[in-house]
Amino acid sequence: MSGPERAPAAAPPAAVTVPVTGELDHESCDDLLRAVAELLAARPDAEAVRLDCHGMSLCDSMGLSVLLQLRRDVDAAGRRLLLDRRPAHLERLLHLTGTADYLLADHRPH
Amino acid sequence: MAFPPIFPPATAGAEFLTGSPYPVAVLDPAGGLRHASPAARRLLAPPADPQHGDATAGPVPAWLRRAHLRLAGGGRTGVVRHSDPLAGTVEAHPSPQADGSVVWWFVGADGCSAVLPGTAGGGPCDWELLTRLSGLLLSSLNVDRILETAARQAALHLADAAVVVSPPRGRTLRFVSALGGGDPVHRQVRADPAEVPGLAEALRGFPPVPSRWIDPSATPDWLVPEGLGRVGSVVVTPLPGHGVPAGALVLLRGAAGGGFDADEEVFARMFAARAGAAVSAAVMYSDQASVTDLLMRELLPPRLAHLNGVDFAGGYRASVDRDRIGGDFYDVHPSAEPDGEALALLGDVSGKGLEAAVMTGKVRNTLHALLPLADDHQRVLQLLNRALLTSHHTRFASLVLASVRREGERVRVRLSAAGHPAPMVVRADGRVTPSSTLGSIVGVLPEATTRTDTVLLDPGEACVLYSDGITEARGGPTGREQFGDHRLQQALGECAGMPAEAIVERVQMLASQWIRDGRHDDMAVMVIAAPPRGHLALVGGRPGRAA
Repeated sequence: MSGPERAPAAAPPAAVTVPVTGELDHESCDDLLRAVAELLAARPDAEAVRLDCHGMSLCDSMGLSVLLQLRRDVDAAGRRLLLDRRPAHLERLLHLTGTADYLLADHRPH
Repeated sequence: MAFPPIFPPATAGAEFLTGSPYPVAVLDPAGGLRHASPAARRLLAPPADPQHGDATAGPVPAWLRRAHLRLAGGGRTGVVRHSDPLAGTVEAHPSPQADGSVVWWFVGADGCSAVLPGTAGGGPCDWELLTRLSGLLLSSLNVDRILETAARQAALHLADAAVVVSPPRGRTLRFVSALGGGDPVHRQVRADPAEVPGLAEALRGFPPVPSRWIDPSATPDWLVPEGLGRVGSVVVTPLPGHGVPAGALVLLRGAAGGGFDADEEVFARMFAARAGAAVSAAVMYSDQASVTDLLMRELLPPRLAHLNGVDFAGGYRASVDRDRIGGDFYDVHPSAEPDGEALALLGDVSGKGLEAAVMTGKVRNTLHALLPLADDHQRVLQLLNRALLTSHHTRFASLVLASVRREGERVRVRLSAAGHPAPMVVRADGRVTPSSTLGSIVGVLPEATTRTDTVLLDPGEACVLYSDGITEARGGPTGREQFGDHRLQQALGECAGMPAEAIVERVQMLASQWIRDGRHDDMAVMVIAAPPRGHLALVGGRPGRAA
């Protein structure tokens, strides 16, 4: 990457934070997709979408599918997706499914 | 005269108005009722007294008289709305004539049916009867049953005999006919619907032609139910469906039965509308049910058994949720050569329902086609990943590939996981260890990677592939706790030395006990086992003790 790396300690980029609480499964996944889509539309200045996963009690295969969809959507919108405060079960799922590198990679918009 | 009259005046007018599909009345310049169709007479009559007076009698309601006089006084000729206690909102459309009279057309909220209030007991406009018939028609989702009900009830209440004709498929015409009071009969003939006047049009959904235009003697014999005799009059009405016509209703009366009057034709149309809705809902349901059944049949896992000196057993318990088809699958493909590697696989597609089923089929077919490359699991998974990758969704599959070969009395298993829980290896002494294989899911990431693990099974040892429906099954004392890896490991430790099928049954039983009556995802288990010593002889393709 060319240009100076943004220091992590610097003022954080304008980000919108979406708390994810409870079970992320086939019943709740559409709500999360919609919430992020609305935030992206409402906050064109936001460089990043932060999913606060602290309150996530479960993530099943549909939940993972939605995280992957969010990654695509946010990339396509030229923003960054950050999964913050990941609980152990989510770490385990990302590891088991080999999706950690992809989901957690820092694709910076150019 | 600048404008020719739009209807024949005087005596012929009444007959013309009777034939109108909408209620229509003619008011003379002073506001007196000159003519009215029967429906308009019912609409204009005071609600308390639904009498059928003669055409020239009867009062004009105040609202209409006011609008009429306003119009006659040079007011604007607009549409007048009126809320009728029986018919609901009625629009009155004026059409001034050259002689100062005005033709008023009435349009109800529900087309012309809204202005047909029920007559007390019986008669062609019996709403109670229509409601009862609707209930009968809607009480089933079986297409044949509904066609029978429609024919039976139409023959009982609407005519001497009724025939419900289904939309033609090819050159065969299928229909259900009934004679009043008799049982409906299904028939099919090779005939052209055009042989019945009005039928071809009705089957294409065109509005019905008035009964008096149809020559009853032109009705072909194949259409007339036995026992009716000579046909006296015919009504042909389309059965409106969802987008496409659901068929046509043919009502027949014998020579002595007299013709169908306008009210009866309207009632037949209302009955046909309800029958059409019932038939098309049932057709849609049965189409869906047959697609589901077809997919279910295709997706049922194979029965597994002894293959080239290796025991295979599999078990699958589908989710009991509404979407019946789940995303779990397993297969075993024997190798072409006797000493080659068989490819076993077990996997899971994210999500449920038809979409998951379609993807499951895709995964299984693609893997089948990739069998010649099964030596190289990494390559198989890469190709599968590319085949499934689409920009439309992020649905994915996770699976385990197991290439299995008998080597002497041992069985060699090459395991490659793709985003799937690693198989458990059950040793003869009861130790249970998960395989070290690890890889990424297929179908959504740009590249698929895996790390293959090779396991050697001694006689009596087994390798257990399972879907996360087992370990994530919720139940236990709290009803919310997951079955979990450690319980599975513990259960498998007690299965050391057991035959493959017994292990599958044991795991399924424990998982079922754990969830009790709770909801659960699909649960799939497959066991690959090295037959215990002394079980080498094959009896009818199954392992049996050597004699």
